[in-house]
Order: sequence, then C-alpha cells, then structure tokens
Amino acid sequence: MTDLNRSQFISNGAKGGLVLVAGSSMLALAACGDDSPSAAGTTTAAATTTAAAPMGDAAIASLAATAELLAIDFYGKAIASGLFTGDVLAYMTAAQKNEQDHYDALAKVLASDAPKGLSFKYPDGTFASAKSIAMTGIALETAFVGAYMGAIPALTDNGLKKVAAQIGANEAQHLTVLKSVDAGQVVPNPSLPKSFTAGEATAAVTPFLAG
Amino acid sequence: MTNTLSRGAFLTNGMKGGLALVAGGSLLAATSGAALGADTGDVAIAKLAATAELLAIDFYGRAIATGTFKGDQLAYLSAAKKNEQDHYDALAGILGKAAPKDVMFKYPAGTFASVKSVAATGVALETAFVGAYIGAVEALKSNELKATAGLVGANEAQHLTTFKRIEAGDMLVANPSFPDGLTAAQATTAVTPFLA
Repeated sequence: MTDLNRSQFISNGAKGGLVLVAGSSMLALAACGDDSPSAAGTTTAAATTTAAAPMGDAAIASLAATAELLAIDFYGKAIASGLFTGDVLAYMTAAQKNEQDHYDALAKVLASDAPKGLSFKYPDGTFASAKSIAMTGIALETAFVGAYMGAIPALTDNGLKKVAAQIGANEAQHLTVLKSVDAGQVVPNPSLPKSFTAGEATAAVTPFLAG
Repeated sequence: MTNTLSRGAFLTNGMKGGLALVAGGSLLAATSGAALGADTGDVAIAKLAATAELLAIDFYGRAIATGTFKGDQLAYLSAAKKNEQDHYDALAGILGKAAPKDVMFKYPAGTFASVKSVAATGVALETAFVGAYIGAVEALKSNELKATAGLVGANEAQHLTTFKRIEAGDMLVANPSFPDGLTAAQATTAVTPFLA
C-alpha cells in the first residue's frame, strides 16, 4: 500500500471512519448543486469539493477508493479465471468497469492522496469455480452495499450523500446478479438492505488486504 | 385516487419539487419522531412516496396475476411485491390517517399482454423509482430519512436489474455506474400516466 497502509485502513475503520463512498463526475457536481451533464467532473470542481469538504468526508472518500480497488481487482481475477462466458462474462466485465468508474472519480478528487498500487489477497480456492467466485462476490458486494448505505448518514456533504446512494444502488445491482450466478436463478432480496457499521465493514474487507 | 391525496395534489406537489419518493421500514419508523414531526417537507415526500409504493404493489400484483411468469421469476415478482408492501406499510404507519390508500391506477393497453411487455413497463417504473429515491436522498431534510431513502433505492435498483434481465430474455444486462437521480418534474412525468 502506498498512501494508505493496511494498519491505517484498519485503524480508521475501528475508529468509525470506514464507510465506503466513491464518486464520479456526480461527486463534484453534487456538491455544487448542479446535475447537468455539461458541467460534469472537471478537475477544478472536484478539487474544490474536496478542499471544501470536512476532513471526515475526505477520509471516507480515501477509504472508499481502497475498497473500489479491491472490487476492481476481484472482478479482474474473476474474469481471468476463464470460468465465465456469455452474458455472465459480459456482466462481470461491465461490473469491473463500474468499479473503475467509481475509483477514477475518487482518485481525481483525492489527487495525490488517492490510494494506489495496492495488493490484495484471497482465501485459497476463491477463484477455483464459478460458485466460489460468486460466493466471495456476494460477501464483498454485501459489504460494499452496507458500507455505502452507512455512508449516507455519516457524510456531512449533502451532495456526497446522493453520490453514496447512487453507488450503493449500483453495488446492490451487482449483489443481486452475483446471487443469481451462485443460485442459478433469480433470487429475492430483503426490502431494506443491511446497513453496515464501520466495524462490520472493516471486518468484511480487512481479510483481503495484503501486507 | 381517494381521500387523503388527490391526483391533482400529487401532481401539484411534484411540480413544486415535492415529488421525491421515499419509503421505509424499521429505520423509518425508528426515526419518525424527529424526521416527520417537525418537518412538513419530509411529510409531503413521504405521502408521495407512499402513493408510488401503491403503484408498485398494484403493478406487481397484476404482473403476477397474468399467469405468464413461472418458477424463479414468479417467485421473484412475489418477493418484490412484498418488498413494496413493506415499504408502503412503514410509510402508512408513520403517516397514519394522512397515508394515501385505495388509489386507482391505469396502464397502457397491452401492458400485461406478455412477459416482455410487463418487463418493459417494470423497467420504466423501477427506473423512475430508483431515480426518485436517489433524488430524495438529496431533497429530504432528515438525515435518518436520507439513509432510509438510500436503502429503499438500493432495493428498487435490484428490482430494476432483474426486470432488465427478464426483458432481455433471461440475459444479464449491464448497469450504469451511477444511476440517474430524477428531479421532481422527471419523476412526476414518469409516474403520472399511471394515475387513474
């Protein structure tokens, strides 16, 4: 790890700082109160948002970027396993792109503070079968959804709350698809997804951090 | 529409910026005192959200009643209807006598003629619901209700991706990285045609 090491990640989580949130062009726009696509995502707007946001929000964004890197890595390894074909493979590829979009926006906002070059580890057998991949994906996406849901009330910036809702909804879609891959059929979801506390999210993600 | 919220009031509130759909469950109930007791804006949002949930319940009920869905898809639709009922029940519990009820809805001809037509309408409705809840996260004043809107929006997003799959012939369909948040006017435009 570079800008955010493993011990800092865990420590921040234990202190209540680990709520995962990321962004895109909307991240900058939301804080500016402008949803128009034409105004999306300039570096200047994003940097202004970051500078203006309370430290708590910046810490949340940094930790979220770490989680997005984990998601990108996971989907990449799942795709590379060669176990998925057709629409499932296409979905995995699109999901990885979703996560990359989230990270890219965060990295733009965080600039030199963005975590990068991280390494992750997985339990033995994680990528041995489509089912084992799906099960790990369910665990990860459940944590991501819960963490983003927890981020909504935790963030101070109202625009960022909206972005957390957007990303949480996208992660919830990944989750229900992975459930269907695991079960071989569509699977119902709870009426209200579980919202993770900082400790719960930390516990879910920490085992994947290498070194 | 009946008693507490007329079709005209629904549209008026929407055009004024009040139409952001939010519903809830235990979290909503737990925060109702602080959230709704002193904030009429949030109450208006909750009323409108309850109307939208009634539309969702009605739509899923009709979809199930067509008899064209089988197996896991039928089970999913039944569970989704229960999701929407849970959302409405929580809102109705909070709103009390002010909760909209016995609302009538209408659908374009042929909506329930086939699996594909049902799914296409479901995609349109759930897209509106997801967008409206995301808009509600920003519009609501209560921080607790923002959290609940996020939760419900995530659940609706799951419904949306499943309808997309059904519409595509049981093929997985990619989703945008950032679902659109709808403005009040956009949400009103999406929902109004279904109000009888």
